[in-house]
Amino acid sequence: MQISTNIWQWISVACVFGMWSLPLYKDNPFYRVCQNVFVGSCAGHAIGIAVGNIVNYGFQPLGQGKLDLLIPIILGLMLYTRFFPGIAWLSRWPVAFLVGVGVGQTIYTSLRSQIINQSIAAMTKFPGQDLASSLNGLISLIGLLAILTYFLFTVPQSRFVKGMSQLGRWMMMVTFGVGFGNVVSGRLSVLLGELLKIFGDWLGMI
Amino acid sequence: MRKEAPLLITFVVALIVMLSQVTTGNVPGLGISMPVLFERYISPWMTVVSAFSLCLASVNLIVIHSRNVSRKQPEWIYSLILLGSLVLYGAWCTYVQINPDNAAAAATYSLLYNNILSPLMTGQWACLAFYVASASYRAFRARNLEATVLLVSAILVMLGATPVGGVIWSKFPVIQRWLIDVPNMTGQRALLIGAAIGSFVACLRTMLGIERSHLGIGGGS
Amino acid sequence: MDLMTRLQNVDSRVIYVILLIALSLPLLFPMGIPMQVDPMVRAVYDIIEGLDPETDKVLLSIDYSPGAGLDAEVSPVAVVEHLTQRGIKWVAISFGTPDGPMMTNRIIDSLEQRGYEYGKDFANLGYMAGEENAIRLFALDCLSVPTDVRGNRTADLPVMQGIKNVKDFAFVMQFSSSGPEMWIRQVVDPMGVPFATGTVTVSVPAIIPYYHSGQVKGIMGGVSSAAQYELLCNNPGRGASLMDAQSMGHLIIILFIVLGNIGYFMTKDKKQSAGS
Repeated sequence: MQISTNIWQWISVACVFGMWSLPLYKDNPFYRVCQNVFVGSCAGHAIGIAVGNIVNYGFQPLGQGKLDLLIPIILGLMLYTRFFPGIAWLSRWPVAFLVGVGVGQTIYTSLRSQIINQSIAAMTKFPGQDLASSLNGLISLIGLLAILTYFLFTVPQSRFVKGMSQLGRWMMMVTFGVGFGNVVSGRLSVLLGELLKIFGDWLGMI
Repeated sequence: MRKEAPLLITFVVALIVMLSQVTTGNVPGLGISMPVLFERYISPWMTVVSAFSLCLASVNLIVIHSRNVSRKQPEWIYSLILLGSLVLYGAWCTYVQINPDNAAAAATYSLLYNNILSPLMTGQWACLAFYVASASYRAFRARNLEATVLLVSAILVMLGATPVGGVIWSKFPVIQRWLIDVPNMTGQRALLIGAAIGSFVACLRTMLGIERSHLGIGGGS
Repeated sequence: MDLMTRLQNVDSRVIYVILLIALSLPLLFPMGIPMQVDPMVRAVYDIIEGLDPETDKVLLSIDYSPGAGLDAEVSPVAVVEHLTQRGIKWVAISFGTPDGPMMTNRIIDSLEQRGYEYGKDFANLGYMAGEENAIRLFALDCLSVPTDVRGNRTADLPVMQGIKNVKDFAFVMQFSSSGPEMWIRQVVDPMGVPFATGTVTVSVPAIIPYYHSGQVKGIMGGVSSAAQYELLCNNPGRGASLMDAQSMGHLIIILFIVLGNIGYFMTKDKKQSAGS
């Protein structure tokens, strides 16, 4: 065991313990300090990166003669009119622009990449190259239809629809189970990463 | 003007961006194609406006916590700590961004980032492992058949996902792989398609001005 | 109060401490349990093995923040080590989070300490705001990023020579703590660029449909995938060192679930018999 003499290593571990003090002990001033430093530093970092982007993609090209960039700079500044009640309505314009671009990007591409391509992928797996893959393809196809049926609320609930809905629920339960298994795995990995730093980098035990 | 202009902006911009993905010819009267209009104007503008929007939450934080400090509200000292760290990180990061060739400033900022901000963030997220453990013990119950299916598939995935599962029984990784590749894939695909349909409809409503809540002017029908 | 009721009401902190001890022991005393390599991980390895170091360049989109911890961080490290071993040049950029450039710098720092040259072997183009829009803009014109994080002109970087749009990269890989939907919508489907994703374990189930539809060529999901990748590259690192503890963690959580359920059924039976 060789404890680190690097002051930054100690600060780093203190920050981790500060955050862990909430579950492992209870709400305490050290945790509150860490929590507020965390929020403040994240917000500060975001400001720095944003300013960098505004300069890089806005003011610098504007200075080189791309005068059309005055429009987004003005729109960007208009976002902050929401802090002044009299002219707060002006902030709707940049929001409308942001939403417009987002909508335009998604409306066609989600249709192509997520609805059409995924539906094609579901249909082309059956029949497969061998019995096992054909069976899996069939399960996938029927399962997909069953889950989609579960979300059909506007059709009469006949016996067939109810049966399909029930099958869909079972499929979703397995999906959520797999999801939970992965959540456990993922959360443990983050904790393990911190333990590795504590035992390895700080205490020098690994 | 206050209501109509934003709706018009959303519609026109969305239309240009959408058409830029499916058309190539010039727009009559403009002498420029939609993809070029997007690439030269709309997209770089969006980058700048998005960059401005990144600070919005931070400015909001500054307003709220400055008020807490100036009015000496309960626990204002924590607001002061938040503002102090915001100013420190904000100023330093801004300096590094504006002077990217100053290696010393960038290195010092990296120290601050890697040894304070980063462990605080990771420490916070690592707490979720504790809560997951607690939830597994207290809430993950086989109350009925469906919950049992969920529980069993979760356990099988957990056993198959790590090397120890394969040591206990060589079929655990095979079962885990099948659960992920077949039933899970089916479920996720259905949810994905459902979400995409929802997103498509929401986008269409927004584009046509039926959905207006994002502008704070009430939502149409 | 009998044992079962007491077990049901045990303090959460007891559970946390048991978890900490269970995870710490295998870290301190590793057992070296053998691993199997997942086909999704091997797919990423095979793609990189198939690249030509003379002509091919790789684009890495680093879209995770430190909050995702080692679960997100070990995969890009393993892939970059592989790229470095093979002498393949790469460029990193971030769209998903302003933390991305700092995450890339961590990887770059370690390479520079070993003598690899910034700008020639790799570069960090920083963060571009706008997410999906920025991805599309960069894909159409990679020089739309005027400078890298060190203030060099992007067009002047040796590693960027011959790169005009995203199709000039032989392979694109995104590392994020969420899904690759935006890349698929804006780059993979319209441009047909070979694409793989590295993500946190939590997000893997949601990405599986894209893998089976062929939109994503390979997936690296968290620490376990990184450990398998390190194994494939014959270069065990932080991923591999965590796998024993990961196994123990899973076993302890399963034990918690089993104990919790035993307690639940025992007390439920008692309540029912007391009620009747």
